[in-house]
Amino acid sequence: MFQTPHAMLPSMNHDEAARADFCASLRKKFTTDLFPGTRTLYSKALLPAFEAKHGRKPKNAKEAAQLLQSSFYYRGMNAVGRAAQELVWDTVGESVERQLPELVERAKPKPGALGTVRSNPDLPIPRYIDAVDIHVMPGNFHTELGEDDVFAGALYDRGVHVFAFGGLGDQNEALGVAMAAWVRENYPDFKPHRILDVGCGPGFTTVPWKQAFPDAEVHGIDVGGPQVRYAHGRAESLGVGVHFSQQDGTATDFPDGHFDLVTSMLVTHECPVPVIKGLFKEAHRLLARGGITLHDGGTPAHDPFESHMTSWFGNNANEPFSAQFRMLDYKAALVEAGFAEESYFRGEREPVYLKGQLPPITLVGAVKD
Amino acid sequence: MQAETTTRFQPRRRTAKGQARPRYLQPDDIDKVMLMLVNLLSEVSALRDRLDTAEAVVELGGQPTSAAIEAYELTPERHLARESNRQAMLARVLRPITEERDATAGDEA
Repeated sequence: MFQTPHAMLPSMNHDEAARADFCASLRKKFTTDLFPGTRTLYSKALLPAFEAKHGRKPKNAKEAAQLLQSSFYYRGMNAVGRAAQELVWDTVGESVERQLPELVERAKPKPGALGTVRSNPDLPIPRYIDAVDIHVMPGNFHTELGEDDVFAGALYDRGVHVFAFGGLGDQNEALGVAMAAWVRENYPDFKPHRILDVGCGPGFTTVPWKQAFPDAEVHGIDVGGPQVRYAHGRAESLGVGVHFSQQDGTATDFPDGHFDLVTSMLVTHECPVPVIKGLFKEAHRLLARGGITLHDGGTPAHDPFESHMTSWFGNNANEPFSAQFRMLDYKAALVEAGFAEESYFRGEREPVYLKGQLPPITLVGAVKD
Repeated sequence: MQAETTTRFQPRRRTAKGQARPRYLQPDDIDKVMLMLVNLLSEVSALRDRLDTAEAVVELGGQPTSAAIEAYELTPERHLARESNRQAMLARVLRPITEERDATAGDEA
């Protein structure tokens, strides 16, 4: 419904808010009606017709996709989904851009801050980030529009709330809260001194860790300067002390064994496999003995049709690495990074606002011995 | 509906003589037309919300000036009413897409 205002959240004038509300409604229509409606059409009409003609089910995702493409419902649904994807960023972006000078000032570190922020203008931006605007979000997470820029952070914080039609909570906090709750439930005696959130974006996945473990020193890193600067201003205005820095999660400047928990959320599915392996390797270096690493992992779909359905963002919203992410052998990747095979674990969390639309999200991790 | 007129003038021609109208769009352009249609729908929706805000301002005894419209604080009830209006509008506009599915879902509807 309404996103909790904080000092960094761009305000919206009447018509900006109305357009954003439309985007949220459109995304809701797509996510809860048009997209799942594909399953109805497929099972009741397309599949029976295919079986009548060929005497079998489609044998792979490509054949399932071809069958779907024969339907105007499917083609129209995709066009609407793509339109929504583009419109969200454009609508929110216009509003953020109008207020950018003020937002940049507000994000700057102030005396008496609870946390810290470090930018690194010399950080090389990896090609996989520079070459593809993830989610069709122009400029991606890292583009700098000027000195001390926070545009991409504000765009993503506002944009996600519209995109998920409020489904990640009033502060987009639901993912972080779910992940922290999962750790508490599965490791009740775990008392981390330091926590690292890799690919922290605007910090809505990071702040919940500090709230769940108030005694821990919590860090968030992101390759995007606009993300960490925005995240700092945002966390300060929410009264939560977190340390943000602009770094690449595969090669940080923290010392060995510095953390008890190295985690990421909604990051791994945007990374090529070698980068995922690099994140695991760095996590192993950064963890103290008994420390935990925890990330989103993928699960291959078992049915050609569902495999195609779960590829929607890969095919329509610039998530080129998500297919490989689903196929990766996570146990092998973590072992390769230095973790003991028996310390590997898998878990599940609800797909939050996509509950009922998508299967639960797989979590993967390991404990350093 | 043509109004009944008793006039000595012929009706004016509505199309121009000369070169045929050029063909502008190509088949591949239709995707962009669809994107523009969705963008336009956003503008229609915003226009409707602005009218709804003007009505709310008047109901509260104010004048629907630009300043009063900007200053109006949307209530949760009105927000929900707008959301259901938007969903109804989307259902009407997108019906040509959804009818294929809805025809198969007869026993569930």
